[in-house]
Amino acid sequence: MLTYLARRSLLVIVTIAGVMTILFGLQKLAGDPTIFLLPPEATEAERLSLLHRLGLDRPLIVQYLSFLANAATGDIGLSWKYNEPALPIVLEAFPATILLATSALAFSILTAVPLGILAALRRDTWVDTFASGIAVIGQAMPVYWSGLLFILLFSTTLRWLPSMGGEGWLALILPAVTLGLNTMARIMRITRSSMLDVLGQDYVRTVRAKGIPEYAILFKHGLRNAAVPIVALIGLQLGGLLGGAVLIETVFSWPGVGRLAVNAVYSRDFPLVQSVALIVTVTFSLVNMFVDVLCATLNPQIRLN
Amino acid sequence: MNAPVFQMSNVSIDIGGPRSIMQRIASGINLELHRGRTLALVGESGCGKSVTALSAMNLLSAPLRVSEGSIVLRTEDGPQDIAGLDPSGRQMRAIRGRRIAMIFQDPMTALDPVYTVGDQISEGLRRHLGLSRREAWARAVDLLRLVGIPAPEERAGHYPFQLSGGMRQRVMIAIAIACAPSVLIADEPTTALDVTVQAQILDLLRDLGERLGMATLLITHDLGVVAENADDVIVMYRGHVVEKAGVGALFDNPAHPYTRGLMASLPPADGRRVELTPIPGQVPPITEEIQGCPFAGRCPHVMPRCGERMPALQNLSPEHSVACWLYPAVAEAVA
Repeated sequence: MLTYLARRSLLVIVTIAGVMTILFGLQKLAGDPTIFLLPPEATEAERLSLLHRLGLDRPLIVQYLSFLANAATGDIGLSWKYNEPALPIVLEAFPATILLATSALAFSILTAVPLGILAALRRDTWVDTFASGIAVIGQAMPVYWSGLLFILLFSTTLRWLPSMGGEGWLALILPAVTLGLNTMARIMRITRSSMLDVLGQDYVRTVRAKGIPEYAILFKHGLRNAAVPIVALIGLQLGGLLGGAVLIETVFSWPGVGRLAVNAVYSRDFPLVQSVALIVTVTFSLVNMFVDVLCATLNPQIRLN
Repeated sequence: MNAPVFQMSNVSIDIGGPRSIMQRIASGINLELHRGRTLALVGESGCGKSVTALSAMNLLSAPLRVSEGSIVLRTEDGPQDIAGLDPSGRQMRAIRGRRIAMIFQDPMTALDPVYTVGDQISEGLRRHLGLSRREAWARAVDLLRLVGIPAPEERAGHYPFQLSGGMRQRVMIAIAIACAPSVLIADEPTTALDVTVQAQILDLLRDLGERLGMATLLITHDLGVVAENADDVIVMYRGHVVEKAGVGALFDNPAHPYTRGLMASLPPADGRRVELTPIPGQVPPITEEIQGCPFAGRCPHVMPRCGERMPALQNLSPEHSVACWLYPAVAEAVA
């Protein structure tokens, strides 16, 4: 298990280095930043002096290596727009995004797993049809569209919930539900199908032949076996949630990393964009590592090999 | 002989429900199980052996169901008709695993992959006998020792994937006998195992059956297994019992053409080189409506009346009965 963890951690570091390399390349592809940073009437001398100040007049390889070295110490440089260290700006907005993403995840797990189990148990009844209807809607609607629909219905027309973020837990409901809808649909489908698969297995018949009541068969044997693919999917979905947060935070004016990223892209504030990408990558990698460890714990065949 | 511990009388099993066409897949099944004795149920695949076994546990799931007859279990509390109980109800659960236990064909898939074998043996013990976790585990280790697993203390903590097929089937047997049931149903317990392991498992089953006084229903398609392990035999063909006899009587004097066909397709035990005679044709599918004897289409002695009516089971001797028009007893019983 320890060597497994060590191997997995090494992979996380490689992933982050890879992402940082791509970010560096993208910055180079975007061209000369002084065009956006300086007023149009700036002189050539002013432009060269700014390039020098940003360290962009050094050879490419030196720029790259110092970028990686600084990133490793958590220094992405100053935000071009705010003129302060970029990473702390992102870290300040990060808790709001984490709150949104975990709420969305909690919403989707808490609705999808029971609904998926129910759909499997009541296969081909109206419950199953209802559940797959929800799944189709959840997967087919883009979040920015369903978000706007929800705002229109629950905020503007019914006036039940606020449409803007940052006003207590009520303000969390709409963005979290909107963000979690797609994930919920996916988790529900995999819960249904893996429950159906597990409940049809020979070992479930063995348990039934032991005289064990149905609820114990369902939870102790059914859900325990079906959990591995469900947990693995949840880990993968977290990436989608963090990505979806970019759109959701914009639609609902949620003060998180996503909105910060969108604004940073608009103002071509590269250090800020890179900081956001770094934080999201680190979070995603760590969560995935945790999920892998969890899957291994759930499945003795992985754990013991 | 004492009253049977377990008795199926005139049991018919149907497939299909209110909204689809019903099809009878087994009919008129009569069988009795006695303490310490083994009854073998023989027949080709698809002849209704496994559904009979599942019906004995009330484990048939829709669209299969017992449509006629009674399935009676006798315990110290008196006789009880299992066929009339709610399959997932409390009464039926108190019988399954406690009074009647079952061993399945494929030990590779019949054990839950995420629990240790000790846990899986303990589960029934805790449920039926109210043992604590620790007591149940200790019993599980004893049971593993009883079914001949070396180093049982260590093995109890192992997962199914860490055990060989033979070991797993021993674990299945340990699970089945854990609560000292009076009836043990073994559905093709050795079919999925290596030949070398088969004999060990069958010996173990026979030994345990005698030692613990269990009545065993052994389901198999292998007449060799029958000859070595059964006391009584029932031969089934497409949902019908066609012959019923003590094991000696059956092998000395097989009466039904199907039984004779099965024996002719088996190599002799003394190793003589003889031409094996297969039974021509196949078991007709259950979807096919058949009037008369279902074996008529493959039978070398077929007569016109075979296609008209299925003969009832009639005694040739006190411990040998057959359902075939070839025998005067059968023909007379009708006339």
